[in-house]
Amino acid sequence: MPVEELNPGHYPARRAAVVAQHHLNTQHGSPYRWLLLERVLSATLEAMAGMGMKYNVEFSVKDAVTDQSVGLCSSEVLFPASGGSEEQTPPHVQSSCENLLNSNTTEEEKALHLQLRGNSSLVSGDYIPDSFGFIAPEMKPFWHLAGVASSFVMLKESNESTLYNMAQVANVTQLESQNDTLMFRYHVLLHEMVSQEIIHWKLLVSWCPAEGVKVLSAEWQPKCQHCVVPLAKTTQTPPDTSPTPP
Amino acid sequence: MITPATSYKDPSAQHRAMENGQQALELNNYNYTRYHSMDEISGWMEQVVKENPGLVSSEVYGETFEGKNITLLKIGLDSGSKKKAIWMDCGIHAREWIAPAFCQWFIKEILRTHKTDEKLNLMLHNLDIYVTPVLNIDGYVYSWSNESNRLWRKTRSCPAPHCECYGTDLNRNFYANWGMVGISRNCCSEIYCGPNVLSEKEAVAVTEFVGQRVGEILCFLTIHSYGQLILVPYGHPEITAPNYDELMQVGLAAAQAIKDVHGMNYIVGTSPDVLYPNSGSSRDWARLMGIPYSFTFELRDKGQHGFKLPEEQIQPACEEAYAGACSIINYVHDKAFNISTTMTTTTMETTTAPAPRNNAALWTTLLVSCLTATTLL
Ligand SMILES: [Zn+2]
Repeated sequence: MPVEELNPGHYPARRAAVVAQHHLNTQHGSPYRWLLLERVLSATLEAMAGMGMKYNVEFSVKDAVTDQSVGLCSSEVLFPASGGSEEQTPPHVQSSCENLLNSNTTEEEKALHLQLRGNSSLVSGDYIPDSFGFIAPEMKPFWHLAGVASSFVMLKESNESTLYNMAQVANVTQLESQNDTLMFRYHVLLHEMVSQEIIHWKLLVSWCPAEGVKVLSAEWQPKCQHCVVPLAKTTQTPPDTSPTPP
Repeated sequence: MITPATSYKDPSAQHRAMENGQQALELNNYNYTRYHSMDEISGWMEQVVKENPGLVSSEVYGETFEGKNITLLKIGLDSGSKKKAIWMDCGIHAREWIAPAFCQWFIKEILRTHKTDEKLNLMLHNLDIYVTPVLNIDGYVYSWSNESNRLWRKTRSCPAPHCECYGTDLNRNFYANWGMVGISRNCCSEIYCGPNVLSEKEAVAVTEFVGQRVGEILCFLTIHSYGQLILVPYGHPEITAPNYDELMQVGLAAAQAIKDVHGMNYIVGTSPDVLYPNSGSSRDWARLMGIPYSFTFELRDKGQHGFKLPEEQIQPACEEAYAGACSIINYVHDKAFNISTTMTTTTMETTTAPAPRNNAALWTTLLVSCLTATTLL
């Protein structure tokens, strides 16, 4: 099959790069590292007989926490052939990056972890950010963590007809935990650009500096009681909850 | 020490409440770096008209589903001769709050600079600029009603008999390949195109006002967020605008003007190339009607904050978008009034009347600026 050069400004290249961004967050994300696609530099597409559509994208990445450019990545994103089924099949992603982990966030993570372990009360918050885009500085790590956790869901929900971003944290609640691993229940709102839908998910998220972020369960919430919305693709079953190996 | 988030309050909230009480009276004190409710914007519009006789007038040109007046501001200087016009609308989608903020910023900048900026002054003698700060007023008011309605997009029209969801996507409701691609027939969808073309009174209002002035309006600008895009007609992937090449050149020059302000990258292209196919948009309708220059702006950002762009970004987002809009308006004006000029990449304020150039030089300049912009994408 011929390899097609894609215009890096056109949507197929950018959608594939955003999928790679979600994948990077599942691998490297933390309350102090939330990676976002900055710019697609180049992209190719190859139709793989019987397997699906394979994108190779090169792109720059920024860290939303510091708002700094943090490196260049190149990723292979394979959207598996659906085989005519309506089921959402998660893409397969492999990435390699330069300089990505040069920014060391260990100290901040340790400090936050210590603080949360020592707190007498559990953290909770609603509407992050608020209607005016405001986020209390103390709540920013929980917004970043939500972005990283949402990437687990957005990665699994993505296909060539989607473009996902996290729109808002409706609620975050820290749960009691017996060990070093902190637990949070999140209600996040995702924006899917192509359908323009706002999609609600409830996530159970764990985090500790040593093991990183994991999404233990993810539950899609219907938009309203009785109506069924034909989204581009939304699975109603929780995604695979096993963490991606590092 | 971290305590429950509910104990944190937006420190600006109190300040906002204080401002809101008085800003309708004092245009000087109006804060353009905050989001404003519909009542505040309406009060601001009245005050702009009152303080700028001979320059700004207002016109009610339609009514929303809920019966609210749709009002535009007309900005222009009397020249005694027949004028051309520019159209700009903001807030066709309720949750895109940066768009109405931009329309207000755009007017503020014109009012601030038109006396000292000779080029702008000339343009206001040749052109009237029609600006609708909020088109989807019902939706905008709804998005302000409480936090859980903040991400409302559509109008607030009543559900069809067989369905229970409110509202139609106004930007899928215009008479431009209506109902063909990038739409939904399900009334619960965010891209529901409506039960029929022009089912929405807001779309009818624009269609009638602009439709009666097709020979007059040179340029149609419709402001959205987010994504940092400049979209040119058409949304249908199989239809190409006859002046596609020129639209791309003008769009790329605007993107360069935007980048020059704060370094932000905007991507230029048709919607099916850079975003998704769609039909029934006001941009496509305007071009189909014969308005030669029609663009959609998708303002900041690229998804980090999305519809909830922080208020501290209103100023830079508006500054750069103003440069982009001015780049297009300058080009359209100069072409219509036979002023030979380079495609400006600066704001109106800093633009000085350029020395006349011959056509060869002009096109060389255009080509260079476009090539530069292309390699940046
Ligand atoms: Zn919009």
